[in-house]
Amino acid sequence: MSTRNHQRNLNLVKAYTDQPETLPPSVYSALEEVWGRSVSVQLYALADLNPQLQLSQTWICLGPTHLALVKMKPKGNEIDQVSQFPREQIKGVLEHFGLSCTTVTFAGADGEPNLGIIRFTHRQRQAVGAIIFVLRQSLTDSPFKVQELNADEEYAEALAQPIKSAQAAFSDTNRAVFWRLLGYLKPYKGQIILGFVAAFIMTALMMVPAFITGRLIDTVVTPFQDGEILWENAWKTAWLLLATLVTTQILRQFFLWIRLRWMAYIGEYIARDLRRDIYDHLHRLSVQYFSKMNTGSIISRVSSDSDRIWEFIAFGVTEASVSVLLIFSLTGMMMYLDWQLGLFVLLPLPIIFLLIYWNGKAMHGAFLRIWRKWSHLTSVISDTVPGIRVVKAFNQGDRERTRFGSSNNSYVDETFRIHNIWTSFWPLFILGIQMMQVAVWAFAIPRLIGGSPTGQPSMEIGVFVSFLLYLGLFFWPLETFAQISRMMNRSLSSAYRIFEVLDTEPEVVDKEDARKLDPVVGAIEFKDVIFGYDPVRQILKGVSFKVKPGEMIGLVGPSGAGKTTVINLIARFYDADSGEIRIDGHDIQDLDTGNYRSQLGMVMQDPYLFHGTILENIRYGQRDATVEQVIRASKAANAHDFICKLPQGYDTIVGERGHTLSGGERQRVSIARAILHDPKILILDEATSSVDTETERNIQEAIDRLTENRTVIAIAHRLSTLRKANRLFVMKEGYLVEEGTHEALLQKADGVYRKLYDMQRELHEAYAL
Amino acid sequence: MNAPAIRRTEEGQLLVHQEEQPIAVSLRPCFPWSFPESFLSLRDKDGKEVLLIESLESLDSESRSALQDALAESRFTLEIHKIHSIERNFEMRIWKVDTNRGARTFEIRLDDWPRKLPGGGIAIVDLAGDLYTIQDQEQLDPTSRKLLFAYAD
Ligand SMILES: Nc1ncnc2c1ncn2[C@@H]1O[C@H](COP(=O)(O)OP(=O)(O)O)[C@@H](O)[C@H]1O
Ligand SMILES: [Mg+2]
Repeated sequence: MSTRNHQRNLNLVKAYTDQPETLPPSVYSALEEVWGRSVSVQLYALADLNPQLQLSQTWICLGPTHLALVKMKPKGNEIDQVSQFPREQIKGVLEHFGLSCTTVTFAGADGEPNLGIIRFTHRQRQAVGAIIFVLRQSLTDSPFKVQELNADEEYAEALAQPIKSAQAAFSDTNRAVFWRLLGYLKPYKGQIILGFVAAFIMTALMMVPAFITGRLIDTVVTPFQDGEILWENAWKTAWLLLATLVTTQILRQFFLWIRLRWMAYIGEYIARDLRRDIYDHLHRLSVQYFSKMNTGSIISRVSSDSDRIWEFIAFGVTEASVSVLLIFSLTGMMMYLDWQLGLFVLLPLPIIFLLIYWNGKAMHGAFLRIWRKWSHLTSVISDTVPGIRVVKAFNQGDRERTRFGSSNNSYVDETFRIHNIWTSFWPLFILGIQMMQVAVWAFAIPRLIGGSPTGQPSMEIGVFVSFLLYLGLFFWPLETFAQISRMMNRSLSSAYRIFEVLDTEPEVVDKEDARKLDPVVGAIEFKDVIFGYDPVRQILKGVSFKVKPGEMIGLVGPSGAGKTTVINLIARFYDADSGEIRIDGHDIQDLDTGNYRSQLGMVMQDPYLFHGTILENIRYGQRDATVEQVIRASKAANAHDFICKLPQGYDTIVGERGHTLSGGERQRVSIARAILHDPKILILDEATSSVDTETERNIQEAIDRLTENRTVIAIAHRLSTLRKANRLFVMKEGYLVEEGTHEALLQKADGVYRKLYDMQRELHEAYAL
Repeated sequence: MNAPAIRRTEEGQLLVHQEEQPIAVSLRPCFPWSFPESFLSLRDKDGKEVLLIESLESLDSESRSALQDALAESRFTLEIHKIHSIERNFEMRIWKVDTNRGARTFEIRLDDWPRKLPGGGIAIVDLAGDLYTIQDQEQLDPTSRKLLFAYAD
């Protein structure tokens, strides 16, 4: 586990749970007293409920020889009580699950009292579970090697895991994410500068019309009405001003056009770059990642998350800068025209901000309620549509309609609440602004007509008109801010999700000087291979075997024994935790994975066909295969006949949204794919387990043809399928328990294989299969 | 068949005395919310059902109280008494609350909503799977009620 991941786990535990992120030092010192200095804590966890089921702290610490329960005082870090017992006295660990409380009893020998009982909430379950697992393993004959675990890391990971699965983001790095996102702008520096310059010029031009309107009044209309200038001169100035006005407006729209277009383009470029990066990265990631993440969430990261970022770049970034600029320029203009009036307008601004903020808050609560009702409404739909056959079969249409109706009504009732809020807010808000305009009038009138009957006007009418027009523009950026903050939140969390994928390191990586085997001969060797999908649960517990080139090996054993896991390791979907896997004498980790896999063929129990024609699917690994080769492979796979019977033959579209093939048909197509691929090592994982006898015979024939001249590892439940195998490997609970030919294995009277064989024969006879 | 005697040891282990040898069992209520005190399944350590108790009424008083104690433990949830804050943090909401068992911070998914319980009240499941209940919203203080407004009717 990387230290970075550990650091992140620590942060998550600190931020989102109210419990220590590591074992408190006082517990360590208490343990030193009983265990001595040199003894380490192998694993620890917190039991957070006491016998009265009050939240409290008891630390469960697993040492090499003892298990200690360290009870803390309610407040602070002081130790209340330490109890411990030797691990060898533990004869059983019983778990009892309640709704929120798990009780674990450490049982002693039969007839002896229990050694201890702990209670904890689900939050601790994974951490305690690791300890229980180790204790239970030591009861079996294959104790788990705990030394390889780091207690702090395991504890933090166990606690952080549910949080991490819910959310990629961690609040601390908010700003970092923003900068990283902006980093994507770099390649488009030129266009961005262009877009921003256009945006700024446009904003500056927005100042002009109001100013010119004022000038028109002050230098044309008023002087002419007062008889100060001639008609011709008035017109001359007027024409000039009008021409400027027209030019300004045209320029303004021109720059708006540039800005909108460039920023929209750049947004698309960046969304494209992000999509490309994620998708490329997804292909570098190991199989492990895809078994942890659900497909929907991966898809939404590539699609909708990158779309939100487009929105943010195309509009959010520019709108925000334009609004800031607009506020400053408007303030500047108003102060320039008349600073007293300017101040008068700016003073109530904080109140307006507050109003917008309060309104936003009220809307937020109401929106949450709407959201809740809406998800209920949609869940009714998404629940009944896929289950429509059940609804119809039980004739529950009326009930479902009523259920939808009531959910629908309750949603509408909720929307009224929000409509009430905004419909009353906006008229009030606008009324307030209009009142402010009236106040501006009231403040300005004395200066326009003079403070007293004899006083002189101290302000020109045109200036005042410009002022009013600027005031009208003022409220637009204010509103934009409210919207942008929402957009910004959404895009940032999208960015988080995207970067999370990008930051995931593939678990299987090729070495710098990876070796290419051309060709692979097909010798496979496992040496004491230990492997688990997660750190505490070992699936393969030391597996060793040798397979000679060209040999066919049947891998049998009860389900869950680890057969598929062995194959996952041969295909290097995962790397072993310890031990060695050698292909043709070379460590598999030294090989060039791409080159190696290209000489490997797999037929799975539930083969996947891509959306496309059957031809494309068969040619998937071998693009340049000729049609003749394809037909030959299909014939060998016993697929040619059924394909020809399809109306569109090899051109039939299969896969999602395409023609549905039966399980056996899909299997044969995938066998054809493997035959065409002509792999040196062929893997068959329960390739015939879910088909009828007739189809099985067909597939069996195909497989028999396929096994010539290559190393084959075949997993099968029906032992008859493996009659051609040179040797059989029998697996049980993560061990290779028997190996040998069919005949040799049958000689072992109480062997696992013998038992499997007898059982199947009985079944066979009983049901005359 | 005699009425079985059910006892609970000091450590909280339930025992069924039916024949000579008492059997250690664990309790699994079939309907923890709808019929909390009926249809209690008692299962041995392999998960096999030893007894299905349809109602507590049918038992002698000592067995009943043993079961009631066990029931209290198995039905244990954290009851929220006061809500300090509910804050959004990207894809989750962080609740800071006081419960009948002490103070607690927990997280739920953004699109997870409290669930209405058949017997009234609401239940909230956090990311780790712990259950938090509110029996009666009206009993909460005004601040908590206001915070809860968006999440429950
Ligand atoms: N991706 C995985 N993550 C975690 N555990 C897994 C995964 N795949 C399989 N396992 C577990 O590994 C064990 C062995 O599985 P597998 O090798 O598929 O068994 P088999 O193929 O022999 O039936 C099973 O207990 C299974 O639950
Ligand atoms: Mg399998």
